[in-house]
Amino acid sequence: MGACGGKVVTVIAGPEAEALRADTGAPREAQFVAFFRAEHKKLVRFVIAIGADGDEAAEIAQVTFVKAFEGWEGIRAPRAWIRRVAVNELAASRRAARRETPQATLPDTPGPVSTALAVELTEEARQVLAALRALPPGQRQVMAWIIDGFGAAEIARELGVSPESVRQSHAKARKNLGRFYGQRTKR
Amino acid sequence: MIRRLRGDCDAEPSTEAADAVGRGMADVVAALDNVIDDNAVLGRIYAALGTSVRGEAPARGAAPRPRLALRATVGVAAALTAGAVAWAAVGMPGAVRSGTEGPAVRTADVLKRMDKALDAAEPGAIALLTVTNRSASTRGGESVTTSAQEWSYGDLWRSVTYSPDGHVLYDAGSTAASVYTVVNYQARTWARQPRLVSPATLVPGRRGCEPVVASVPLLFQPGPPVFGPPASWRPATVASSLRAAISCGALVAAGRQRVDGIEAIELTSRPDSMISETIWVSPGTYLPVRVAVRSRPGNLALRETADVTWLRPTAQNRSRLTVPIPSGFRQVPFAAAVRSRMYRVSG
Repeated sequence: MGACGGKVVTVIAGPEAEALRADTGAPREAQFVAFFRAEHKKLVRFVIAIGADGDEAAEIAQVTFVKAFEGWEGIRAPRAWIRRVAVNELAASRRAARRETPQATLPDTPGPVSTALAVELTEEARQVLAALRALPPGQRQVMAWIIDGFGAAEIARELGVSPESVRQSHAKARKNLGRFYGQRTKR
Repeated sequence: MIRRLRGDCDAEPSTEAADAVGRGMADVVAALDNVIDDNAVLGRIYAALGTSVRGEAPARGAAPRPRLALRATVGVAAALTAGAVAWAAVGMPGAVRSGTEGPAVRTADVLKRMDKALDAAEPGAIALLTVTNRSASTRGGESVTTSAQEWSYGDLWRSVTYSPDGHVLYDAGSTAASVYTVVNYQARTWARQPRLVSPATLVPGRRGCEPVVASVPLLFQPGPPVFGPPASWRPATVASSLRAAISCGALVAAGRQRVDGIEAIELTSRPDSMISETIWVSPGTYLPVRVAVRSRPGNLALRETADVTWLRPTAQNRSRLTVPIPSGFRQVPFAAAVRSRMYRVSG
């Protein structure tokens, strides 16, 4: 908007986003928009990290935010909430895909997000995603939560497991990631 | 993030892998920033919920799955690559208003995306712009009707002016070397000379609001060029002028209208401007597909419509930028070639 007076976008990330949730002074829509801007891309990344491709992740993120808007007043910890919903959405999507009966063999065609990401991702980012995909699903999911800044207790609460179980999964995941990167280095 | 990856959950020391994971995942978000347009996604979410960005809280209930929304530039580039941006350029707006969106609907979002799309289609990048003008204005009490086709690609520009019965009257254009050529089909003459005004002075300020707002009424100046095209006449400059008009807040989203088979987004000039201007934008690419300019009552009568078709810069399309000199036409001094340029058509 340049010289004509532009729009100021306030990006609120991390714990601040949670703090915003508690700010009862902001209108509902403003709260949601600020939260969306802070978390949308991170949620897409989270869904990719737990195993979805770019298009699937983007769609799941959108559906998750639609649900978040609908239930905004009742959501206490929105950062954790959207991730839990996204995990469930991905699982539901996978179940639905398994129920579908293939009528013909079609080649896998990457969607627009995956295609664009293939161009935009750095080599380091590609390696990380490949490393995460090589992890067992449980370890991968714990890593995705940890990457997004959640602690063992929060993750345990969201996954319905004990904090100790989360710590063990994390330790195994790091070991596996170290092995993955070690092998890469040796090559 | 990296602190947690290194072992916030337990007491193990940091590892190179944890650092790499932290950097790589930061890169993923950076890449997504270039791929996904938050504003567009937000628009889809609101649309799915049955409200507008600035609207009231949506009605609750089952929401359809919103479609993906890529960044405008990605979408435009993909669409152009697929050759999917040829919109028909026929007739005056017999547009049908759908009326599903209110006056303030998504104005900021639409204008931002349109600005990005125009930026992506600026000269030299991907687009060859074709504009067809039809105008009817009054000069000295007589009605003057012109129609023309214009092509622009970077510094290259060409305009062909037609009589109402479809015969070529004038063919004019300039090359990358700033050589201006005009062919007068009525007098069967042609002339060529360096452009009289430097391109830099032809282009109005992109971001300065005053010159741009002043130039908006001249975006589609009727009649053929005289001493080279004025800035507002060049289709490429139209794109930059539109961008400037957008950035200056001179346009407001007014809803949707069906234009040549698409539910185009309608943008109108503000009520206090001297010239009424309406721009219809493709909802798929956010590039303008039609522009209509009309003077306000009490001012010089002017009514003009331009249909815009965005073409790929193929060799065939680029060849349209060359002004051919028909055999048998006589070269004359430049002043002589443009002397009898004005033509009149009764009615």
